[in-house]
Amino acid sequence: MRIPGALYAARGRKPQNEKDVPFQEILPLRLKNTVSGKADSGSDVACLQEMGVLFACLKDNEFVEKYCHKEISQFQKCYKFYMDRKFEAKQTVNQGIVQPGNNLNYKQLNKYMRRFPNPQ
Amino acid sequence: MSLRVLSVNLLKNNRNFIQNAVRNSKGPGVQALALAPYATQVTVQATPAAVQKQKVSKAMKAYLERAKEHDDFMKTQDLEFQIGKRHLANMMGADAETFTQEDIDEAIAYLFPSGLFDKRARPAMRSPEEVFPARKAAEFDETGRPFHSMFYTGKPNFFQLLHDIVEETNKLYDLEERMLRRGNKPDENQKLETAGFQLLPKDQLERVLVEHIADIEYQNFTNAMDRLISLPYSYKSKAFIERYLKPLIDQSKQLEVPKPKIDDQGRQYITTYECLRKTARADVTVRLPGTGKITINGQDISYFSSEECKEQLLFPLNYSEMLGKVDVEANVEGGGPSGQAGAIRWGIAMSLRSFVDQEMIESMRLAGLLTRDYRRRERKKYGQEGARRKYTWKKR
Amino acid sequence: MSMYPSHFAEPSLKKETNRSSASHIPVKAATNDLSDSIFYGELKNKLIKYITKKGNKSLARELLTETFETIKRTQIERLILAGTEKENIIIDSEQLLKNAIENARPLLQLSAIKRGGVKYQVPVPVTEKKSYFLAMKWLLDAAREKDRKVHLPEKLAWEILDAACGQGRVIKKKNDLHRQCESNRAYAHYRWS
Repeated sequence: MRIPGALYAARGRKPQNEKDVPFQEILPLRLKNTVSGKADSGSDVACLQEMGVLFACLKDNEFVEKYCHKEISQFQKCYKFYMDRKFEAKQTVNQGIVQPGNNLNYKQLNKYMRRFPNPQ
Repeated sequence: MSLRVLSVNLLKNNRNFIQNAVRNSKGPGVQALALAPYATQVTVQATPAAVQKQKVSKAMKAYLERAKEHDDFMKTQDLEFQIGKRHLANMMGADAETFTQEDIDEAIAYLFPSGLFDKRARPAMRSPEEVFPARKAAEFDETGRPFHSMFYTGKPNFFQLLHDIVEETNKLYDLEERMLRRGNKPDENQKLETAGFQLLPKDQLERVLVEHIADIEYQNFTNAMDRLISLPYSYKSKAFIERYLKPLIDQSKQLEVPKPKIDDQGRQYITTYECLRKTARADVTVRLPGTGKITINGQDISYFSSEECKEQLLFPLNYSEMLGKVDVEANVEGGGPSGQAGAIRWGIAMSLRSFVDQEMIESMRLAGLLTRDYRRRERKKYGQEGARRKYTWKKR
Repeated sequence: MSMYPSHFAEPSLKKETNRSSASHIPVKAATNDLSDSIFYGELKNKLIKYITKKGNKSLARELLTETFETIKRTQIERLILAGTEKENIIIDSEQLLKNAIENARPLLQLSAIKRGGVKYQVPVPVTEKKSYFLAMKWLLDAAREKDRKVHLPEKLAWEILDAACGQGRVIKKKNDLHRQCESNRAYAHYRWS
């Protein structure tokens, strides 16, 4: 919806005419074929739920571990699984292997985009 | 294969080649042929527009120059080698015509004796074909048209190889499907055994292909080969796979077990000389029917005061269940107690091989008793407190 | 950093392993603390390395042997004094050491993470290796905090015996750490790599 100029005039300012400021394409309106890896540190938060369950159990039993065997083993299993996965992922990325999926590392992304670049 | 032969010939007749190329550059139709990738059916008449401008491309020219240079170089090298061989033969008083490479090596070792440890660092004389790595011959004909359809990949042999692997894989996939439809199963007895084999390492593959390949490309090769090998019907393309497999050395049979000698009391004995560990050096003799007596430099096992060293000595004897059945005599010098114990341990283990069965030898090898421990003290580095430790950092 | 190439296998003392696959793999030389005597224990070797000061390993070994002797003496004394419950008393000192270390292993650890200029103590899971290290370190720290007149083996023996029963300073330290982790659990999602 166009707002009538009178309304702006009431506020004391006229909107600029688009024709007076023609659009200039300083850089081509195209995305680059690379991404930088700056924000790619990734989060290390894992097993939060297991940790919560473990804390609840420990608190209930006054930090005596033998009453919380199930929780402890579950927590440790979860962490071990997480570490193994992390190690494996690092290995594949280091080898430069690109896997299908949406959780891609910046190296893998760059590799993909080099293969399928933006049209010139 | 015929192409390869032709290309070799081309390299040899480089001079003709250049002349041909230059002559051809004046004639019509060269460019038209070079432009068409599959030019067997394309005739000059079909593309008259391209006939007008023909030039020998810069790359072609550069290649011809390079090839000529290399050819000349090899020729002079070969000439020098022949002259050198003649001189050597004269010096040794042999016939120059029948002077072989072995004779050359002998003569060099005699005339230029070298105390250098590394054999590759000693003086040598070999034919230039051996010394200078093989070069690829011309990969395009005189009109500048490449022989290989993958020439423009830059690494035609490598990509041809990948292509072949995929072709084999697809063939096996088809076979598997056909067999599945017929209800047949792969033969378990014929299954490809790759336990003692290894894919060609990168440097060897490079030598086979006469091309330099990047690490990632080698990775692609191994991945493709692994996929091919893992297929259930991989034994059908055994001949292809085996071309790129290299047998691993069987570690258990690597060292020959010496036969025990008989001493004047009629007992079997084995002496192992040069048992080394750190800076210690020992000679160990093990005699078979024995009572478990251990003699080290004339003393018994109390030669070593610490428990650890005594345990070291007894480790191979106890492990091979020969404790109390053999006598051990050792002369050891140099190094400290731990090194001396380690040297004697290795000597005992090596000697015991003659008195136990093959299975026990393999067990001892897996326990790390038969490996010589060649770790040495790491040197101190300048600007550091020790081998690894750095000085405390002080801002000022 | 190893002198050996990466494809060398670690030495193993098992006599019946699958040979067909292993016959092509070169093996590293056995280190000088490896042995197949009945006194050999991996956990023991590790503890000896932690006790060692200034490379005097033989002294550390003697100290641990003495510790085991003390433990055994005390346990036998207890066994004799105990009237009816004789089954509950373990005499094997190596088993006791194992129990003590298992009891003293922490599950979580606090690591300081800076967020917006404030340092938060964030609970982080501990890897298995690190938990063993911490347990042994705490045992040793507790043992080294003593009168000058008391010998290390004596004190270490007491700490091991205490920890094996699930009491004593080391266990308290572990529980304190767990308690701190629990009170700081609100920060757990601050963790990052």
